[in-house]
Amino acid sequence: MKVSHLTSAEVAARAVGALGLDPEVVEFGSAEAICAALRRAASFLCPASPRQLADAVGEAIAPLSTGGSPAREEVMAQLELLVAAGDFLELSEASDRSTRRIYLGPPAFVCKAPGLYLLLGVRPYGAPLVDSTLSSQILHEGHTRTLELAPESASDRLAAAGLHELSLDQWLEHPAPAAPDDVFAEFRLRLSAAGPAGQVDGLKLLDPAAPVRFYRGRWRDPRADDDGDFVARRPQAYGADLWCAARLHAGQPAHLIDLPLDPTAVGRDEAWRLQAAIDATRGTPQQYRTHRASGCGDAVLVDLFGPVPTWAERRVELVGLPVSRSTGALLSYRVPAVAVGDVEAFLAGMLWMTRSPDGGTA
Amino acid sequence: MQVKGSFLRPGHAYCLVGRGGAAAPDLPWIKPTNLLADDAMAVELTVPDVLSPSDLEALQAAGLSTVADIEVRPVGLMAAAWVSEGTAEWLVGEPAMIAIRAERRPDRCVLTVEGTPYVLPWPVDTSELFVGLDGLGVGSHEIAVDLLAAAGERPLAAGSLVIVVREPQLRRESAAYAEGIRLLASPARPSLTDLWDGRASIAVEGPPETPAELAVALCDAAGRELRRVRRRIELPLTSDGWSAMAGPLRREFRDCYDMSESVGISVSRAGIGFASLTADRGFQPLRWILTRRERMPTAQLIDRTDGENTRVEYLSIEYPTITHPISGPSIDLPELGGLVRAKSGESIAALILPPNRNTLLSLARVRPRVPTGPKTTDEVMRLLLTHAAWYGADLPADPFAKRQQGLVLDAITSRLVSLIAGTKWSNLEASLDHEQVIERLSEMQRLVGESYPQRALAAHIAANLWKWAESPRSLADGFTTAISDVARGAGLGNRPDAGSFLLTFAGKPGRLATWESADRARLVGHALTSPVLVRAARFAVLGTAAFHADADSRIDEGWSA
Repeated sequence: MKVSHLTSAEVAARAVGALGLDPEVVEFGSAEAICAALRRAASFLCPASPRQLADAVGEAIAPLSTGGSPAREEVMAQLELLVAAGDFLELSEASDRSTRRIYLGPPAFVCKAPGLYLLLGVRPYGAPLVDSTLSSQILHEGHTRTLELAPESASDRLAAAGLHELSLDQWLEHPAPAAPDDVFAEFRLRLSAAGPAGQVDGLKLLDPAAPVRFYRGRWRDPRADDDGDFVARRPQAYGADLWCAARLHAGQPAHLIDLPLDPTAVGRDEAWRLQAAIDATRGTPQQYRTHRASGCGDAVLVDLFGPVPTWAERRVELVGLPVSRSTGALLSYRVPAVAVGDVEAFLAGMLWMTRSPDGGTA
Repeated sequence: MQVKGSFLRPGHAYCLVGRGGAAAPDLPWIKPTNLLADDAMAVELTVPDVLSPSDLEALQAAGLSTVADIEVRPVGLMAAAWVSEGTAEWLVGEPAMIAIRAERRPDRCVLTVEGTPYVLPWPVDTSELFVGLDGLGVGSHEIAVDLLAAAGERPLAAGSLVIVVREPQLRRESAAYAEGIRLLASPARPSLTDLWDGRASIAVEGPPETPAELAVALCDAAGRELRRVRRRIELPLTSDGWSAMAGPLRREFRDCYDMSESVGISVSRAGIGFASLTADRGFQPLRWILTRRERMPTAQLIDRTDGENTRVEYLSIEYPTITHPISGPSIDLPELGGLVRAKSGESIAALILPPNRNTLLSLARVRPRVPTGPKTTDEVMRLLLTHAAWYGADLPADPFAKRQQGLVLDAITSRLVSLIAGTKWSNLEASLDHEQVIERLSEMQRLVGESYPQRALAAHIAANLWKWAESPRSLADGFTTAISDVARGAGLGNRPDAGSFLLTFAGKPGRLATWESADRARLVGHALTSPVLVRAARFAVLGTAAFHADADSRIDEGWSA
């Protein structure tokens, strides 16, 4: 039995080690450590509200106020990433469908590329996801955990470890591929069938005629010469502005439908996909840029000039990592050179994007 | 509530339990309470927000501390369980680390672990001390914490904490309360028809070998449940498992599927999460379904527009070009069938109504009557668009509906060709029985034209009918070549699609509705002024159709550009 005084650095290092991370490499306030702490908290506390999990983690790390303990906002942001990735599930209670709580995601894996596997899920009661041999090989990057295994035996090994295989499509949850005309046509059909919009104050439009590489500059008020269908936002009494699709005649909204149409989707995701379809049908598809950057080794920077739906972010983050945005870009990702082709194909196939030969301004 | 530790927070209420005869602090906010236990006493404490020095002294004398003086809690690694101001649990092998915070900075801290005191100097310029407790065995360990000032002075604060070290809890065979269910669809967010037709699949992730309930419910446009089916499943449910279930499920829903607008699929397990997915039919502003109303077969319109501008009309088999407005969203099925069409703004929904089979069999063959007006472009377009309406309407599964549709399409095409081709050809069309076309090919050949080039054209067509019948492409290429000289003379020399236009005009004129309107009007104008081309095309269409038993489906595939 030994009782010893510890410095905050020593506490942090012990905690990081107990979470299965290397304290020589991972800092206590890093995304990796926060996510590991959240997984531990969930393992013991779930089903729980997001606040309960964040409070539990915060309470344990708050005394380490020097040396950059992460803010609550950072903890919540990582929690959202873990939910989005599938480590956690946000579900209704069986008895009260209006109450949603965090549950543990079932242990699973997704093949990112042959030999590279994304691990998902959390086991209850603090049990490790995989045995110590595999645990020691896990690469922690942000909220993700990846294993590099021989592809011919990986599925069997991970299945033997109690992980269920998810297909990439199942994990990404992206909509079915479609032509931009078809996507746009469906919204136009719904707008045609919608009742009169009535008076809509504070409507803001995404201008399809504005340059696609200057996202912020595309937002404007309706003008008297606006005729056609637009992605828009409208204010509401409480909460963030609502995403919608609007048909305007002489600058006045004639028909309007709120997004999302699919209650399980996110409004902005549908809006951004619709805007990508509108841009593509106009012959001015949205663009991305690829370039090498110093200090990235064999990786390539993929820059986006406008926001993309969540499922597109997940696809890019499957192989890449978000990094500080490049000059002129709204979002930037560092992607291994071998994976850039797949990313480009996905952006072209699902969002009809084309490669920009030069820069733009987000 | 039992306080496992000895810390009290100002502004909180507690119940203090002690051995019988123990003296509680004599304070006005401490009152005795009943306790049904031998040799035990209990008091209720309503701790005021601000404690006086005499309060603190009385509490200390009883071995109690206020948290305002001292706070002890896990730090760094979240405890497996933590009851504030009382008990912390860690799993064996995990580092037990606590933080001791003192409002009044002491000189040193004494931790007594299982009777053994450990003295730790308090760090300078900080109100918090971090302590690691290594080597605690499995079990419960009481830790007493005393904060001491400089030697000789009484303790500043004191309290206790229970640390429990335990083995990891084994997961039961059944699911843990924490484990959730995930319902996955591939592709994500499928439509009702995707699921129904097997183009999408479902998988349910969850704790293995865990029973759960799968419920599938079809709902109508108003969200009313038409039918719900429940099945017990074992998690996880793979896509293959879903496919095996889907067939029997479809049979259970067969009689209400047409009425449904959405399906809800849910998976639940008592005490665990509930996952669900809703798939709708895919937005169709207007849709016709066949149903029964008071035992009468009926066509019912599902109108998802705002409904105010929806117009409904009916066209009969007997007079397929005459429109009858209908009030209301439904129509009893006529004996011979027909066409119902709903229109609202840009949205159109049309359905071929099936006939009563018994009536159909008892009647002589019905010949649809198509009155025509003057030989003008407008009249041609009227017939062409009517053909398109019948051609583009949805077909129910009833094969007799397709038969009735075919009768109407043939009749309209025949009258359209007759409008342009002249009296003799019109008489031929009126007397033509499609089962006897082979026997009348010579007559058709003769009626194509009288001039030498026209007779040569007809002869060329006749000589190649058997070859052109092999494929639509053969027909299109061969006919285009055959009419090149005549077409040039008619001003169509620079139109490589003239042959395709004429063949479509003479066989499936409704398909020309999708052509660009100005271009189509020009070509119709040429046809009006060069009826020989229409007759030639009609000869080629009827002749090749007669040469091949299933010429209708083959010709459908290939004529139009």
